[in-house]
Parts: sequence; C-alpha cells; structure tokens
Amino acid sequence: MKKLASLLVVVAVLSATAFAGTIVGSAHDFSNKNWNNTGEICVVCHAPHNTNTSVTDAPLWNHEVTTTNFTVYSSGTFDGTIGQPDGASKLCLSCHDGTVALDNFGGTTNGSQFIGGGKNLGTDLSNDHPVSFTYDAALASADGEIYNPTTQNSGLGGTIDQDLLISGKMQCSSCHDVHNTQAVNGTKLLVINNSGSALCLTCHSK
Amino acid sequence: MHGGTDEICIPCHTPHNADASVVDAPLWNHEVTTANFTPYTSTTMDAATGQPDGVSKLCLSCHDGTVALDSWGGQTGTVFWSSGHRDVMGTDLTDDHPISITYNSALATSDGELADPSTTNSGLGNTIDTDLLFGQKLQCASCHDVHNTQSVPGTKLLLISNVNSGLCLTCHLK
Ligand code: HEC
Ligand code: HEC
Ligand code: HEC
Ligand code: HEC
Ligand code: HEC
Ligand code: HEC
Ligand code: HEC
Repeated sequence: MKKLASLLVVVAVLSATAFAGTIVGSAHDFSNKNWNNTGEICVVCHAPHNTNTSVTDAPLWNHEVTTTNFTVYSSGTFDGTIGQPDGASKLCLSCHDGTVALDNFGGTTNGSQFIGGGKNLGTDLSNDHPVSFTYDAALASADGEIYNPTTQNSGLGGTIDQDLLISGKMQCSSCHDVHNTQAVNGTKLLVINNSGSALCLTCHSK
Repeated sequence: MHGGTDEICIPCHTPHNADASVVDAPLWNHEVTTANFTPYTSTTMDAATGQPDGVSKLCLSCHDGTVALDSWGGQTGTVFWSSGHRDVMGTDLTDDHPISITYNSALATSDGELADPSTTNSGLGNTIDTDLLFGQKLQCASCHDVHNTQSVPGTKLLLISNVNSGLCLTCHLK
C-alpha cells in the first residue's frame, strides 16, 4: 500500500497524535470474545493457508463470505453504475449484513453469533452511501459536483484515487480502516475526520 | 517416514551425493518438485512474487502433493497424502501466505504497515532479518521450524506463538 508510506511522512510532519495505532483493543480485536476460542486476532478474517479466494482482492480471506442478493443504492441523481457489492465491501458485509454468523471462520459454518444494532447494515443498502462502483474522472465530469479523483488531493498525501479507492472503486474501506492503524481516534474507524464534514467534502465539492 | 529405514534425517538429508540444484538446500536428499506454481497475488501487495525458491521449494517437495513422500535417495516412491488433506498446499498458492518474496527495509517503507526487518526485534533474540529470513526472503521456514527444535509446543511447528496473533504482529504493524 504505497499510500500508507506517503501518509506516514505526512503524519510525521503534521503531528504524531493523528496516528491512531493498532487493531489490538480496537472494535475488530475479537481475541477475547466468547465466540472465538483461538485467542487470536487476525484469524477471524485472515489465515496463512486454505483461504477463500472467491472474492477478488480478498487478502488471505478466512471468514465465510455472504451470498446475499443486496438491494443496492439508487436515486434519480446518482450517476455511477452500481451492481452487487464486490471486493473489500463484500468482505465487510460478510459480517455487517447480519446474515453470516460472526463465528463462521476457518471453515466453521454452524456459528450462532450475529452482529447487532446499528452495526448491522442489513441486506437493503438503499439507505447507505453507495459502494462498489467506479469513481473516475468521467464520473466526476458527468456529476459536476464531485472532484476528479485522479487529480484531487485526499489530504492524506496522494490523490483520492491513490489513497481512498481500491482499483478505482469506492468501497467501505474508502471511508473506514478495518485495522484501525490509520483511522482517526474516537471515530468509527474513519480514515479522515468528519468534523465539519471534512470526510464528505474530500470528494464532494459542495 | 516411509521407505524402509529407521533413520530420521534421511528422507530429507544425506551426507553424500546430495541434490544441490536448489539454492540453500542443505545436503538435500528428497526428490525436488518440478511443479509450476500459481503464486499469491493481490492488488494491495507491494512485494514481487515468483516461483517458490530456496527452503520453500524443499518444503513443497512434499507439501505440494505432486512428489511421493518416499521419493528420496534416488528412489521413486509411492506414498502420497490423500487429496484434500490439510497438510497439502497443492500447486495453487493463491490461498496461502506469500512466500519466496524479498522482505527488506525498502519493502517496509513502501508498504507502510510492515516492520523494518533489519532493525525490528523478532522476539527470538535478534532482528526479523537474522532470525526469520533466508537471504532477506520470507519462506515457509520463516514461520515454521521443520525440525521442531525451536518451535512452540502444541502449535503447527510455529517459531513464534500465535496467541493474540503474536506471530502475525511480529512483521505486520496492524
Ligand atoms: C475484521 C476483519 C479483519 C481483521 C480482524 C483483520 N483484517 Fe486484515 N484485512 C481485512 C480486510 C477487509 C482487508 C481488505 C480491505 C482493506 O485492505 O482495507 C484486509 C487487508 C489486510 C492486508 C492487506 C492490505 C494491507 O492493509 O496491507 C493485510 C496485510 C492484513 N489485512 C493483515 C492483517 C493482520 C496481520 C491482522 C491481525 C493483526 C488483520 N489483518 C486483521 C479484514 C481484517
Ligand atoms: C462515504 C463514506 C462511508 C462509506 C462508503 C461507508 N461508511 Fe460506514 N460510516 C461512515 C461514517 C461517516 C460513519 C460514522 C457515522 C457516525 O459517527 O454517526 C460510519 C459508521 C459506520 C458504522 C458504525 C455504525 C454504528 O452505529 O456504530 C459501521 C458498522 C459502518 N459504518 C460500516 C460500513 C460498511 C460495512 C460499509 C460498506 C458497506 C460502510 N460503512 C461504508 C462513512 C462511510
Ligand atoms: C471517497 C469519496 C467520497 C466520500 C468520502 C464521500 N462520498 Fe458521497 N459519493 C461519492 C461519489 C463518487 C458518489 C456518486 C456520485 C454520483 O454519481 O452522483 C457519491 C454519492 C453520494 C450521495 C448520493 C448522490 C446521489 O445523487 O444520489 C450522497 C447523498 C453522498 N454521496 C453523501 C456523502 C456524505 C454525506 C459523505 C460523508 C459522510 C460522503 N458522501 C462521502 C464519493 C464520496
Ligand atoms: C522433513 C524434512 C527434514 C528432516 C526429516 C530433517 N530436516 Fe534438516 N532441514 C530440512 C530443511 C527443509 C532445511 C532447510 C530449512 C531450515 O533450515 O529451516 C533443513 C536444514 C538443516 C540443517 C541446516 C540448517 C540448520 O538448521 O542448522 C541441518 C544441519 C539439518 N537440517 C540437520 C538435520 C538433521 C541432523 C536431521 C535428522 C535428525 C534433519 N535435519 C531432519 C528438512 C529436514
Ligand atoms: C520429506 C517430506 C517433507 C518435507 C520435505 C517437509 N515436510 Fe512437513 N510434513 C511432512 C509430513 C509427512 C507431515 C505430516 C506428519 C504427521 O502428520 O505425522 C508434515 C507435517 C508438517 C506440518 C504440520 C505439523 C503438525 O503438527 O500438524 C507442518 C507445519 C510442516 N510439515 C511444515 C513443513 C515445512 C515448513 C517444511 C520445509 C521447511 C516441511 N514441512 C518439509 C513431510 C514433509
Ligand atoms: C506467515 C507465516 C506462515 C508461512 C510463511 C507459512 N505458514 Fe504454514 N502455517 C502457519 C500457521 C500460523 C499455521 C497454523 C494454522 C492453524 O493452526 O490453524 C500453519 C499451518 C501449516 C500446516 C498445517 C496444516 C494447516 O493448514 O493447519 C502446514 C502443513 C503448513 N503450515 C505448511 C507450510 C508450508 C509448506 C509453507 C510454505 C509453502 C508454509 N506453511 C508457510 C503460518 C505460516
Ligand atoms: C516474517 C514476517 C511475516 C509474518 C510472521 C507474517 N507476515 Fe504476512 N506478510 C509479510 C510480508 C513481507 C508480506 C508482503 C506484504 C506486501 O508486499 O504488501 C505479507 C503479506 C500478507 C498478506 C497479504 C497482503 C496483501 O496486500 O495482499 C496478508 C493478508 C498477511 N500477510 C497476513 C498475515 C497473517 C494473518 C499472519 C499471521 C498468521 C502473517 N501475515 C504473518 C510478512 C509476514
């Protein structure tokens, strides 16, 4: 991840406190949950062997993958071309859609713990920010009120495309850092602080 | 191990007539795999992968499932793992942790979330580079101790305990 190297430089220059730190003790540290008897952190999502390669861009994936047919975002003014969630978003939704048990990892399929409350996005994504669509210069000019991702700076050291998009696509991880290593302290794992809606205004020229 | 001997080392090593075709192979006695592997890939990975080499190629000469376990000392064996066995990696390594990749300070810098192997302590007494890498390369034996002399009891021959993902967090700054 080249973006992270440049981010490190920026962080070092700006302030040391912006650097959140580690997955240890974060929302995604499940090492002492009663539904995870391995005592490990990464294993709920990754393993070194026998992993699931069915999702493109899934790094050594060890959690059962959702098979939901989602209702995706739509609106009269949305200019992107959106389909079923893919890539990193599909990985997040493999816990956050509420259909796959949290403890279904490492080949286990009879888990019984499900995500709850506001952390469960459900299978209807029409009320969530659109994900899994290509965000490129063409979309920016068609829309007129979003920045060109290949030239606009993200504020993290590179362009929006380099720092926030995965293979040119908008995904859950465009806004969230699952590992909490680059996330802003005290936020919902956000990669950019949203006070003053700074996160939103990174892409939307409103 | 099979092959009609009570020696321990012989399926893997011999004092004479060893196979020197693999770089870093210590007095190798087991038939070496000739499989064409599919290495790990991903869009977020910074390291360049290629065909397995060095120590990993030795491990895969049993663990890819293409060479009989008892093909050593020049003999052609007949004993294979049953298909689908967990210990068999196969020739498709896209579902396995990347191996045979150069892991140096430059990679750590370009990735941003990897420890610098030349300065970070492995927890085993020296740096990651000294204790876990082979000619700056990450190999199967970076995580596993084939001889079980240094490995943590009760693990899959792991050099470092993976409780709290300690093994993973030795290299990954997550
Ligand atoms: C809750 C699930 C989850 C846990 C736990 C988790 N990861 Fe990840 N990891 C992901 C997802 C999803 C991605 C792909 C999306 C992304 O990179 O943001 C990823 C990507 C990665 C990558 C490749 C991209 C990068 O950031 O370099 C590495 C390496 C990685 N994880 C290592 C780890 C390690 C090591 C641990 C344990 C200390 C860990 N992860 C724990 C979900 C998780
Ligand atoms: C455009 C940016 C953006 C995208 C894309 C995005 N989120 Fe969020 N998400 C946010 C913000 C901002 C918050 C914090 C809201 C708050 O603090 O009230 C948030 C909050 C959350 C929360 C915490 C909810 C709670 O009640 O604690 C979860 C879980 C979450 N997002 C998951 C996801 C998942 C899964 C995806 C992909 C399907 C996703 N997000 C995509 C911006 C985004
Ligand atoms: C990484 C870039 C990025 C960030 C950050 C981001 N958005 Fe977006 N957002 C987009 C893109 C691209 C679209 C698609 C625009 C289109 O095609 O109309 C979009 C679409 C939307 C839409 C739907 C527009 C429509 O026409 O239906 C809304 C509403 C929206 N974003 C609000 C937000 C809010 C609120 C935030 C902050 C919490 C946010 N966005 C953060 C890139 C981003
Ligand atoms: C299952 C195969 C296997 C068996 C059995 C085996 N070795 Fe090894 N040995 C290896 C491999 C692979 C390496 C290179 C990787 C490494 O050093 O971790 C190696 C490396 C070595 C080395 C050089 C590196 C070092 O650790 O000092 C010595 C010496 C050695 N073995 C001695 C022995 C002796 C003596 C025995 C029997 C008691 C034995 N081995 C049994 C596979 C084996
Ligand atoms: C001569 C063939 C051979 C070679 C070479 C070999 N192995 Fe193995 N390995 C085996 C066999 C056979 C088993 C299964 C032993 C058993 O279950 O009793 C095994 C088991 C293992 C296990 C699982 C141990 C457990 O407790 O379940 C690991 C891990 C392993 N090998 C790693 C390696 C690594 C790493 C290398 C190279 C450094 C290597 N092996 C080289 C034949 C080999
Ligand atoms: C990054 C560290 C790492 C590397 C590199 C690695 N392994 Fe492993 N391996 C592990 C861990 C951790 C486990 C234990 C998994 C568990 O307990 O569920 C394991 C388990 C195994 C097992 C037991 C079967 C299983 O799936 O649990 C075998 C056999 C094995 N490894 C062989 C290899 C071989 C051969 C290579 C090189 C091709 C290799 N490993 C490379 C970390 C690694
Ligand atoms: C000896 C050091 C070392 C250990 C131990 C180690 N890794 Fe890695 N891992 C690496 C390096 C180096 C890479 C290549 C990173 C790159 O080039 O982006 C890597 C790559 C990965 C990737 C793929 C990243 C991507 O972008 O696709 C994942 C996922 C990962 N490791 C998870 C783990 C997990 C889980 C563990 C513990 C079981 C572990 N690693 C243990 C050094 C290590």
